[in-house]
Amino acid sequence: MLKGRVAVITGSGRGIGQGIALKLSEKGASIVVNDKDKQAVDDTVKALREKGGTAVGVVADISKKRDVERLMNTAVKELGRLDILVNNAGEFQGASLEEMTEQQWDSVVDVDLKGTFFCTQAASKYMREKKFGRVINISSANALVGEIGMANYIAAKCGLFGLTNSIAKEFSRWNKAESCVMTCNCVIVGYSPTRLTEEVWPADMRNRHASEIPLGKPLDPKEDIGSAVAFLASEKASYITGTKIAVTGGLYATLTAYG
Amino acid sequence: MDITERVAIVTGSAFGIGRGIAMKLAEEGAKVVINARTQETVDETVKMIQKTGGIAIGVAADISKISEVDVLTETTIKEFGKIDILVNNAGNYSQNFIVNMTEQQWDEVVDVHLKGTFLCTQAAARNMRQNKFGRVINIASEGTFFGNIGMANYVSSKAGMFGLTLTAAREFAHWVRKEGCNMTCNCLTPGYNPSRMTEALIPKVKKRFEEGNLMGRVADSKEDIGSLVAFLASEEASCITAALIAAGGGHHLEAIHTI
Repeated sequence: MLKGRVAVITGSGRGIGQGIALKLSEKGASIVVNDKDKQAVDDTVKALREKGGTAVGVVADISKKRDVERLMNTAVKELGRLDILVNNAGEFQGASLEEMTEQQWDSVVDVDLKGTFFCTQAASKYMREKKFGRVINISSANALVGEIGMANYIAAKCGLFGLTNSIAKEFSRWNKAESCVMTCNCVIVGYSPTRLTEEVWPADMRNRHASEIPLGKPLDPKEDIGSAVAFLASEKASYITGTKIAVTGGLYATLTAYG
Repeated sequence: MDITERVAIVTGSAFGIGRGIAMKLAEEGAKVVINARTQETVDETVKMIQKTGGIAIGVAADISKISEVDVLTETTIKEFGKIDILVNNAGNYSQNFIVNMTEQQWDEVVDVHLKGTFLCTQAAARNMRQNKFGRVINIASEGTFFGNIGMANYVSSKAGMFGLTLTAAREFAHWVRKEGCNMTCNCLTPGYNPSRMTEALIPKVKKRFEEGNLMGRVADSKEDIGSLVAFLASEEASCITAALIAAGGGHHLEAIHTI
């Protein structure tokens, strides 16, 4: 389904990003694993190679433009092209509105929103050259309803909706004028137990999220989220763009409609 | 995206989008039940599928009538043993301004789109619940979200399908949690797909629809809509429910939302 494709997945050292990397690799894509943490990068690269996949690791902080350029340049240098970008890297620092510091605001928005912008900007020029591209932004079901103590995170994840639509429209100019087939979509992810949720979220929030899932079980990063990303990355999804797809086990899915 | 051995009913599948969906599901290995009101048109699509090596039967039935829906679902169970996938696609037009629309025009459209979707879902869900697997995929329309002059009956029914999707998803979720079923219900909104039904559009409107997307081409019913339906019908989409997915090449971002 993704044979010959090269995918950069930010924040794929652990959790949801790692699950997406495993699924895309299983479907035949070569993977560029990225994280800020070298050990996490090495772990995922090793896991992918053990299953017979092709993987390259790049340690980079996506909130820094220079790091992002190195990430994308390395992908193309090592693997020859760049077809798929999954903007998954996320940062989380909870605090109430009154307590939140400028630093807390910046460190989250810089990764979740600005990082997505940098990555898309740097990757799309390579995609345009080959006339094929898939940008898949990972947002959160929480973004649809807001959350106490997470203004930075929710604002950034909501920002991804607008960014998705704008990227889809900018890509459309190349689709129309240069016969590119470039799409940008947003996958809205529900509750999936990862390091981020287990270590950072308060227990009552975790329990509430787990109990609220209409289908009764948390998402599997690889099988549930990874499969949806793999579909959107494939040629089969050539006519889906500017769309939000809720992979949430039904949680808040009704709110994804438009806008 | 394995749907081998699955049994799918696609309503309104003798032409257009429904035929495209049926052909894709058959290509992916499902046994397909073709439905339309007349036997002659049903037979034509059945032959097309059989010619390409697929398995299909045809059942002529007017889905706005409960007795005929019973024939459709009972024949499916008799011939193929079960119902796994129901694609509620059948639709019709009968245009008029609100001030001029007759009761008969209202009824003939709402009875097919909305009541027909309800009747088919009801009959199919009983069998799906027994077998603990089910996918109901409703084909609505992007017009739902911005209205269409002269189409009050059509737009109202398509918007109603969204409410029906959410309610079915909730009722199914109950069986997922309590009875170990794997059942989902989702709603797609195609943009403009050239079909027999759109031939009647005036050239100016047709041109606007043809150009109103971000991909620089009109949709292919089989490859574009059919592939998304096949994905949602597969086990890979077990955690996607109550979702509304725009599948019109970004039409929802291009269409005129203001009136």
